[in-house]
Amino acid sequence: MVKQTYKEVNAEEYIVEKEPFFVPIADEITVFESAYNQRIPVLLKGPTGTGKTRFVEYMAWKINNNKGSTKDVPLITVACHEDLTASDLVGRYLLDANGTRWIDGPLTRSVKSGGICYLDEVVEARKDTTVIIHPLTDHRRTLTIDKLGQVVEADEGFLLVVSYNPGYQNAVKDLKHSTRQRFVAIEFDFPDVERESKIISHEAGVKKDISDQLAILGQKIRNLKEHGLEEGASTRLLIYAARLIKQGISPKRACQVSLTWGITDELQIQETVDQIVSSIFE
Amino acid sequence: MPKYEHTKIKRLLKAYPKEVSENYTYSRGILENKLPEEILSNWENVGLSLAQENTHSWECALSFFKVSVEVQQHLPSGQFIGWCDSGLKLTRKSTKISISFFDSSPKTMTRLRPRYIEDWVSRVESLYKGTWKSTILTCNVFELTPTILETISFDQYCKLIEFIESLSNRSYDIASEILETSTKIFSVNFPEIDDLLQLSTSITEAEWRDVKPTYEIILNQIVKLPNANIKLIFDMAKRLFGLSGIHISNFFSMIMKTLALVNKDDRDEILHMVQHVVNNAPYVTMDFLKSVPTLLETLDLNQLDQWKNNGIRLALDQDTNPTPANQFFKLESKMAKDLIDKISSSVELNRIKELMKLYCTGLSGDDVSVANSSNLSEKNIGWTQSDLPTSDGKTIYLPNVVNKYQIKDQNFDYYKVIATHQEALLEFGTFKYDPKIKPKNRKSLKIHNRLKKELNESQEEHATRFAKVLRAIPPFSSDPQLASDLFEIIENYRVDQKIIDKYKGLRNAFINVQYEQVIERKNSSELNEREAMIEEIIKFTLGKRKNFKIRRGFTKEFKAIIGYFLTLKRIDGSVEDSMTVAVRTFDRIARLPNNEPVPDEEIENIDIDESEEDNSSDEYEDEQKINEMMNFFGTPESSENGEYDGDEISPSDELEEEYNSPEPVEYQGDFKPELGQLLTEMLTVEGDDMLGEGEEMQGLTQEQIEELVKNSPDLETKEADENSELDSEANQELLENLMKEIKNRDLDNSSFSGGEPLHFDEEGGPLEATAPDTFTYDEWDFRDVEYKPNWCLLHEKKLADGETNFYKETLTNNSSLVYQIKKQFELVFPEMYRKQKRLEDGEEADLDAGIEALIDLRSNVTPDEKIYWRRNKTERSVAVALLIDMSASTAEAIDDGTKSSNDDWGAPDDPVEYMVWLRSRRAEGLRRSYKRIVDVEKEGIVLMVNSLETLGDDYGVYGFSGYGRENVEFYTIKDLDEKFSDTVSGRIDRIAPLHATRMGPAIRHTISKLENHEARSKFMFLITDGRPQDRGYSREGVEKEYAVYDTRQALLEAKQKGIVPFCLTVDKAGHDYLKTMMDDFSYEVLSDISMLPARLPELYKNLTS
Repeated sequence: MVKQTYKEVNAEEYIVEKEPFFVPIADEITVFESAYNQRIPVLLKGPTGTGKTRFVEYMAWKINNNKGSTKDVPLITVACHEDLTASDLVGRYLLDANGTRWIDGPLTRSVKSGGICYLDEVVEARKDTTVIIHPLTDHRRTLTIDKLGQVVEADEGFLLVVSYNPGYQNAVKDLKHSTRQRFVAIEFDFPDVERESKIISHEAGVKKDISDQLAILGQKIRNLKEHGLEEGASTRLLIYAARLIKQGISPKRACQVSLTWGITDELQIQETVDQIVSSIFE
Repeated sequence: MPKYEHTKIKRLLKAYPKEVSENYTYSRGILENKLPEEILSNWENVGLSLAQENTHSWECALSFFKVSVEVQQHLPSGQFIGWCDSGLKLTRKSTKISISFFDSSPKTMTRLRPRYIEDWVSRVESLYKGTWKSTILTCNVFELTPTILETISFDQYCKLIEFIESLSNRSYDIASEILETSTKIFSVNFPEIDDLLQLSTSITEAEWRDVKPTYEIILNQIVKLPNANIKLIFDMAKRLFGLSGIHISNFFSMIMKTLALVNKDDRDEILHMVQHVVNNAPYVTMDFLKSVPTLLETLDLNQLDQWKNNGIRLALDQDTNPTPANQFFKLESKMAKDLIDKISSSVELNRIKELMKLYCTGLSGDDVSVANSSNLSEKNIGWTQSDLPTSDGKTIYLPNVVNKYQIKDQNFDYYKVIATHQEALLEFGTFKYDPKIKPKNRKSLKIHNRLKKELNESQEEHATRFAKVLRAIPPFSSDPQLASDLFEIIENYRVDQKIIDKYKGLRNAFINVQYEQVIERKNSSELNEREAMIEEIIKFTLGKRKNFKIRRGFTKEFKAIIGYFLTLKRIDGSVEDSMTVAVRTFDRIARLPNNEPVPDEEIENIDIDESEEDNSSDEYEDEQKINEMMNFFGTPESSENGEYDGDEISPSDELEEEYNSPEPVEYQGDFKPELGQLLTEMLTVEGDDMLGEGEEMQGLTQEQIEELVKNSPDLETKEADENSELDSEANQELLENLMKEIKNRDLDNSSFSGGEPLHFDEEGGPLEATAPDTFTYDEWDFRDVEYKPNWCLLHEKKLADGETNFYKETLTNNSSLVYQIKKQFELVFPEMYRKQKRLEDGEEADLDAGIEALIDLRSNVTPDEKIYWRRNKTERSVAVALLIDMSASTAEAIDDGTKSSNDDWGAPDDPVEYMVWLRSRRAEGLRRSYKRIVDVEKEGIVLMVNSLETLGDDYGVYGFSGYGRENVEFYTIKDLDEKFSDTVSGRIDRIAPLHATRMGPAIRHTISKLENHEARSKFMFLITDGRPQDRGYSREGVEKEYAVYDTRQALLEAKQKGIVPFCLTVDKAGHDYLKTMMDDFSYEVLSDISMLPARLPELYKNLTS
């Protein structure tokens, strides 16, 4: 028998067991905890790579490890995309040898198992998803499954968390107010140089001087936003650069492949970023 | 002709003035012995005939007799008679000519072979055409002949005469002039006489007017060149002659200009280059010569050669089509420019400006711009060095070209070094200096407190905190110039250390530059003592660590000062720390006498060991020490009390040398903290305590700036000593420029200082729309948080028809852009035809949907009936209204260098005055020939309209302007349901700057238009150049907020009605108010307005698809 080398769990049994590394910027942890205690849905706002997903993981872990928590709270993450429909979330019938079989979607599973359901980039999903989100995010806390003709009441532990990146370029993809106003919003932004350096050095395991330089670089690149750069360099990219550096790639080259070419296709900006990189790194 | 006897002749000659007879007798006496009888008789008879020819001809006889003896010496008898006869013939034509002939004969005979005499005479004679002018010319020729023949052969002489004759057919005056010029040219042994004569004849035939300038250049410039060069030049000229568009004089002058650009030794090389061009592609020669000065700015000769060879290759490859080569040598083709860039080692600012701007913006986090430093010196606001980098806190000024090194990358690195230094002044807060902020170094607290105290007590008013500290309070007040210099050195040092520490990649380049500058700096032993000390300190700040030359006895001072610097670096000090170091350094340096240089024996070599930890206690932690210092420098009298330590070096009463500021460090450039602070803080609200405790920043008054200009040691006013009147004039100009500059920058925060407005629109009530095509709209009052009902009256008009050419021209001029946009827009189409799934009816069953339906059936759930798909034309139902700002400010030139105030707040409130004001403003706009904002807006509209036609969306184009709430003008360029036609394109042409910008009602009117139009998605594009503003937009003080909030409210209304607003502005300062105005609507600030035509369609596409 082939030895199973990977870990396999059902979605509703996925529990964050190891403490994820998270450096809070403000009071987001307290706010989230309070919101969870009151079962108020949470909207995470902020540019890409600012730690929204990591935050949810961290919170899932933290809630599980709080004293007094009796039941595990699983974390179910759904990355939303343009073709994601309501039935992708709720579930659907599948054919099998004996006829048909109902399969719960991730949202249904988490409603039943009482976990945190995290819809990443929720605006990307098709509009019909909002219909099922609405009853889950107000006092009803119910999920209607049309095809089964059922209404599922959410388990006590259930909480819907969505994330949203307010890109201002596309007016069509905006969160409707009726949806928006069902969440408390926590804003995410890039951490300051000191915190970011800490994050980078922790995540990539590089020395402080390198993480410091990368953090400064990140800050400098973000200064270029609104000067032709649509989105600042994410912490994630900085961490990638740091990891490459750790692998022995020269800092300049590492920054080029992970940052310069990653963040923009515009030559002028690329050149600028290159120059900034070459000023910061030896 | 009757022949007379000697005696008879003698008698007959008596009838004329007696010199005639005297000369006759004298000459005959000599000739008697030399000539045979017959010839002698012929001779004397010719003489007599001459005299008898006419009433004046005795003068000819006189000349004849005078020169005969001399002439005879050179001629055999036969030729001598020939000569006599020629003279006689000439006399019959003109006595004047004949006299010149005789007079010039003796000398000519020494140069001319006898057998040529006849030829000579007849050739010269041919010039004579019977007119007075031709007489003069002929005389001139005779007179100059001896001189001319000194240097040229008779053959050449004949050619010269031919040339002069043909020239004389055009103009006798010029012929005479040229004759003289040629004589001069020949007289200096001109080597290329044949070529010159040949060329001259050709030129005369083709374009005789060019002869004179050609000769002038030859005489004045070309003759001075070595012969080999002249030969080359004439070879080229011969080749070039006859090519269309080439004037030889022009060619000569261009080539001389070119030669003037290079060293003497390099002239051959450059001439050979030109020759190469002439031989291979003569038609580009002039273009090449014209481009050489530009080329030599960035290329050296080898590189120029390389560049030229490429051009020639291009010309040879394309020998049927001269255009590419022409453009290449005119520097108009991209290839030519790229090639320069490739070959040259120098770096031009223009090519890297945008990069530098983004680089500095990125590093500093401020929105800085980059400009050529010569721009700044032209503005005359206190900066005088045109090639040094500097910064005014908002713009970083860099030199035009850097050509210090052989290698391009090094030159680029130098740019980076100087740009980073300037940027660092912003990044590390130099201009934000505030004496109230505590320095980092705790040992400096005593000094800090004392400075603060002095500042509070000081009665002097100064424009900036820098000015106040560096000039008004002790110790600095005793010598502000020295104080400024020291602070500059210290602050530059601080900033440089931070750069070296933070930007490790730049470290090497930075240290190299510093090292080079140390070497280039003056030897301090030539300087007066105090200056020498400062010089050594500067060298220290540039990284020098060994062999400081310090006068014995001053070493303690020097080491102490270096100690302060090292501490500043160690604690990673702030600008406030720099200031406290400046106090300490000043205290020590100002006490040094500025005596003449001391002999070398007095000089000691000192090394500095940076690693030495300085643990010595800081003497300035001692209150007493500070008191002593303040007293010492505070009032001149008190220093005589002698309370301070005896061993301090006292300010010497001996005659000291005048103190001169050190040379600026080249890469650090001009350091202008006062102006920098002044200009930056005019822009920021934080500047409110610039004037000291609790005082509100109210904008600078004229007096304050005057004071700044007068007192600032920063500002090097020109010719200060030479002429005091001139000086004050220059000052006046400087002052005005400064005011202008501040006004320019001060787009947002200056309080409006026009007189009290006469009335506010607070008064008055709702308006009523009675006339046709007028509408009333409410306006939002953000203070009362409610609408003012029917507050604005809007007049809708159709814009008058104009020329349709503008539309067509714009499309032609931007054809490549049009093509690109079209391609992009066409990509939208396929999306419209995409496969539509889940339909009740369609081309084919959708497999996925079908399976789902089957599953549903089996599991007893109502299946979805939508199981078909179809390639469907999804109806794109988009309506967009483009709303264009037609305010007066759009008349501004888009070159921001010449940008004048774009603020309309200066508008008078009285309607009559307002119109006058407006007219003058518009007239100003009309005179401009350059591109205005509105022109770019128009271009954008043209491209947009063109693209929208491709796309088939419904669209309307409207413009708005107005003056006052009762006169909001709304111009229809194309209504939503109007079809595009020539009328529309004609109207676009008529878009022009009009009045003010009252956005609210215009937006509301557009909303009502869009509301009545049926479309699934509706958009409103607002294109503007600045914040909304109008006469009497609410009461004074809050107009800006009022305008912004009303506009915001109007946009919210749009959103409520399902219209998506988008604002595109070209106002660089747009971010601040747009953030409020657009709330969470989309907007974009274009950093470069010329991007507008390209960006507009792109945005539209992104927004609507």
